[in-house]
Amino acid sequence: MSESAAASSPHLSTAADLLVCLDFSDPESYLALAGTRQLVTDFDLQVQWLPIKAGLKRVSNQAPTEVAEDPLLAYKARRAKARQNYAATELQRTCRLLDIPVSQGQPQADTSLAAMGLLYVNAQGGAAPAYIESVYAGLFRHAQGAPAPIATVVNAALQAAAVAEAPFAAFVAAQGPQVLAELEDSLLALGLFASPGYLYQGQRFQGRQHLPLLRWTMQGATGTPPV
Amino acid sequence: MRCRLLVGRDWTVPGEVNQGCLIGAGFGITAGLPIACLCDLQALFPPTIKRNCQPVSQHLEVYIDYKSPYAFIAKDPTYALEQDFDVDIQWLPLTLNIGSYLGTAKVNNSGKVVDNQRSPRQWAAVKYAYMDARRYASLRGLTLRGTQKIWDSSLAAIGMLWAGKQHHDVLKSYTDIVYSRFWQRELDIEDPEVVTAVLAEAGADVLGFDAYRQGAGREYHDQLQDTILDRGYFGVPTYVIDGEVYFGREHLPRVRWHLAGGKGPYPDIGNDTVLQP
Repeated sequence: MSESAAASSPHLSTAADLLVCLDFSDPESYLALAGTRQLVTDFDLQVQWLPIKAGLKRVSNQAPTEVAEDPLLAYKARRAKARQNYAATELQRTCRLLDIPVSQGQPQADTSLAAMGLLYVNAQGGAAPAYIESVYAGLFRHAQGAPAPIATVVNAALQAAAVAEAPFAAFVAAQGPQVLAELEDSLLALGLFASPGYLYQGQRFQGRQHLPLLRWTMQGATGTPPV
Repeated sequence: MRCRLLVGRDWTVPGEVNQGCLIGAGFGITAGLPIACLCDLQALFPPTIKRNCQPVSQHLEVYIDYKSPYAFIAKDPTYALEQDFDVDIQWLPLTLNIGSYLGTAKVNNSGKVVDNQRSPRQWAAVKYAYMDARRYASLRGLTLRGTQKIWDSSLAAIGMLWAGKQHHDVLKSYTDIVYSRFWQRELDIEDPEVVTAVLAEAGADVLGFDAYRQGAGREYHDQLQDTILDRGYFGVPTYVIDGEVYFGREHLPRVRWHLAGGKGPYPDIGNDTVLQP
């Protein structure tokens, strides 16, 4: 990550080679995890893993869902419906690739606790990849009809990351929400708003479709690029 | 069974044969005849019809908008499909109403915002989109200069329909010219004379285009936008193959998977097309 980027927020590390932002509510981000970790392994990268709320989809979907008489509003409503239907189809594809039933791949409404958990794990020097894997598995690979309560999922993930659970409760009750809000602002200021989001040598890559270009860049940006 | 029926000396008709009948709009339009039974066609053109159907290229619909930077950089990776597969690509316009979902803004020649109806998040999304598209464009030596306003690209889209009615190479040439110049800020795609001149440069017969753009072409374009929105196509590029709809060029690995017969594991998305310089 560039120093100028890190200087914009106390929550961003200057030591990391790569910043990876993940939205825990989104199974598409879960799908990106394997490819991202492969990249980290292949290039022996120092990574800072951070939570993000993927905002763009929400921005684009702030359209009325009921058809209005105003032509523009009516168009927006129809387009929003088309997007929603497409998202449902894409979710099926995502679940197919994750090898999970669609019923388990439903996006989660509020994963703020899991996001704060990742910040806490980072602060404690815990194993962030293990935490992330555990949260995603808890939310999207559960054995029951519905995932366990988010607190249960996060506690299990904290254990997987080998950090103490009790101080985390204090973190959540005190500065946790504020730290998370500041981080969101910092990431948006950097132009990061989607998941997975990557920041490498000052370049932003948002979406797992960029993994081939990211790899090509890490290999020295020589030869014919993937486009 | 999907076939390519060979009629006449130098043109072919894609269609489907079902119980001896040729089905498909292509024949009626191209030959100026109503859809007919294969046996009738053989009676009409006995020496020139190949009786045996041959497997035909797969059909792929690609929806683009000339004012979309993402559709611009998808063009060549999509063309590459024609080199790798026996595919019949039908290019169609999907004219975006960008202001309805990403707000509106205008910038002057210095890049200064002179009119702003966008939220900070919408600005972040727009700025990233241009940066991202420009990054991929520059890797291929393409110029992509951000637009200074939200253009009405429907006229250029009607030009696409006109070019598409003539010849594949005409359409390709027209699309190449429009994209290249528009993204260098050298083409006013809202000016009928400019679009007509590009059509002519691309090799299109422009006799009748003026009436078409104001009449049947406009009507068809607008009706198409309505129809495809109901089908769920809302952005560009959109690919439609085997009944599946894919939005974004990152789905090209999946399009290729379909074109290869759906063999092997279903691929994930990725901007991984490698185009030789």
